[in-house]
Amino acid sequence: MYRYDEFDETLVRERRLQFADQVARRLSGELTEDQFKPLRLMNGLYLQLHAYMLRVAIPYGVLNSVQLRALAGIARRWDKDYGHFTTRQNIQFNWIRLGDVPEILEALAGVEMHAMQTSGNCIRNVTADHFAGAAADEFLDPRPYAELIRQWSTLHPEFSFLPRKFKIAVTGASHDRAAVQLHDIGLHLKPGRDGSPVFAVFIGGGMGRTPFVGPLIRDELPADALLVYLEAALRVYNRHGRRDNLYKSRIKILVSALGADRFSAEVEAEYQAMRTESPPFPPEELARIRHYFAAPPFETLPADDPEFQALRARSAAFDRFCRTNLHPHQQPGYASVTIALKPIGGVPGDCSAAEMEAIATLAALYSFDEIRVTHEQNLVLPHVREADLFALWEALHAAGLATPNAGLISDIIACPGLDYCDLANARSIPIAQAIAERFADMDAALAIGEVKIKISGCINACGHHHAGHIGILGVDKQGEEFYQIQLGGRADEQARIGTITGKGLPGPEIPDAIERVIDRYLALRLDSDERFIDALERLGRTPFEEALHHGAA
Amino acid sequence: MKIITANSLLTGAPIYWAGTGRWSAELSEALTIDPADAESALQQASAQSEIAVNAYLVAVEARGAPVKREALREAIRAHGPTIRPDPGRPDPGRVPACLPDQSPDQSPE
Ligand code: SF4
Repeated sequence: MYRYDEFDETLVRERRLQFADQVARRLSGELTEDQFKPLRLMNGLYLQLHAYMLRVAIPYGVLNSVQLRALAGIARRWDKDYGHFTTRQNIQFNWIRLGDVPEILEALAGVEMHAMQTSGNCIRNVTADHFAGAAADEFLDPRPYAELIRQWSTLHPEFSFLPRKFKIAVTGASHDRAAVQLHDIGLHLKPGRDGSPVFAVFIGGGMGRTPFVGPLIRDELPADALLVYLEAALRVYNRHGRRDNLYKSRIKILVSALGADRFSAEVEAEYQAMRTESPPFPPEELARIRHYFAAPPFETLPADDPEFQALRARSAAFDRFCRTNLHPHQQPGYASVTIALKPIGGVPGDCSAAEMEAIATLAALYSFDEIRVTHEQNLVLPHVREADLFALWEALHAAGLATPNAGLISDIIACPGLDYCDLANARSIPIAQAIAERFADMDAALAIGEVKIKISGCINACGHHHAGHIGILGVDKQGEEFYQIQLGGRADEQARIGTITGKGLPGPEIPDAIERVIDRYLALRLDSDERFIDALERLGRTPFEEALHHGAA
Repeated sequence: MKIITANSLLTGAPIYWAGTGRWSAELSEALTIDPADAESALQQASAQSEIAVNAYLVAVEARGAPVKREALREAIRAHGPTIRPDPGRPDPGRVPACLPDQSPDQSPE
């Protein structure tokens, strides 16, 4: 895992001391709120409905057990004993007092963490495939590149005053788990014609008010030219991007206005010009960073541990967990384990201090001390020996963390919504809870198979509703919460924005409506291998829309 | 009628203007103001920026409960998140029952 170098340490310390001073000056009245607000936002501190919210960066979603314990400690000491993992692979603390923030930042710095680049018009915390460095379908670990981007974007003054916030996601696997086509810049690391690493670069994707799937702007970009190319793209954006209108200032609007071809040509011209002056990044630097992401000392093991298979055969509950919450590993005899933060009746992404501590202990015991945060608001232990899976499962079970629903209909993404968020129009979490409760029977949910439901409490789309197989957007209709339903969105390599169906429904009607759609799917699917999204694409949305809005078949 | 609410600078918690120089954590203690006097009261309240952040007016009915568009948002501000209680989480007694099938006593735990 990456460790701070001296530069990072100095930067974080300086920013922390500076912010502590700013907090003191705000509390003494020396700074007005108007002066203070941009400063607190630069340090990840928002003011929400009930309290300050501190958003802590977890670069590309990677944590070690000491860091997770420190987050648990913050939850215990300065919050109400829990934190909330978000779709940006970050963690948010919901009940923070202003005067405590300097101490919290100090506690974070003690474990090489901070809250910078989690808000404001800068290049935000880079996100990545949560199975990076572990997934069987991966060509190359994308994290060294994510780290390179982090360092470059942290340093670069030109990019801390962008027209708007800017989000970059990276994957190195054939199946996209990082929603790269729905980011300002999405990077897919893959083998070039001669086998050397290249990037497919998607630019201008995003959700929010005007959602777009990012078009492919450059294919086969040599991986060592990445930063030069990104800088070229950002220069074109800085040159043309609209600063006059908040809603039009994202790069996606520029790409769509210019057209992908013209945008691509402009970036290419800039890139070619820059390439002669700025050399690709030094291979030693990448090698240095890569060293931190070296594979852990895996044992050489047989592919299908016989004991593991025997235990699966013996325990139906363990087998049930393995079917949904394991992901194939590149190293024979290992698997990645999803810890779904989606217990039925729980709050998607919430994790108590005790749970964080339990997970930290298990990561140290069974997963080379590594934890990942997924954009689906779950945690992952990336490298677990098959032979340890049963013991791990028993421990997770004892901690109430073994809900076997990863990827199923109750594994719902929900933003904080009107229960916490100052910008919300409607609540998200109770809708997620009501749907999860409707599909609480895990065997029935397994028979339904993969369905991705994503819920946002307003058009900002933090809950990724545009990319949900079923997307739900909370709207406010004269003081009442209504929910607009979209069908057919997806965030994988075939990314698509869902289509809005009919009129919004009141909250209490949502579980019935979703159940009707699922019943229709079960009646129409070719067989149990045809997933919900496949059936929807084969049949078109009409039959599902009918079920949604016009009662049972 | 109107009331004035804001967030406490120190804690970020919702607070309510209870008359010159006084802020309360309780919605029930908010001073109801005649709409004609609302703007000048808001100016006074906003001037206390060492106590209150983001002061704004909320329309209320005669007994002081927020109405219309603000009702739900203000209820959640006043009573806390509506989601199920957990150890260390907001007091279940204060949950407004906005989604009938979501009251905490029906949750499986
Ligand atoms: S989508 Fe809207 S309501 Fe939900 S967290 Fe984002 S800003 Fe808040």
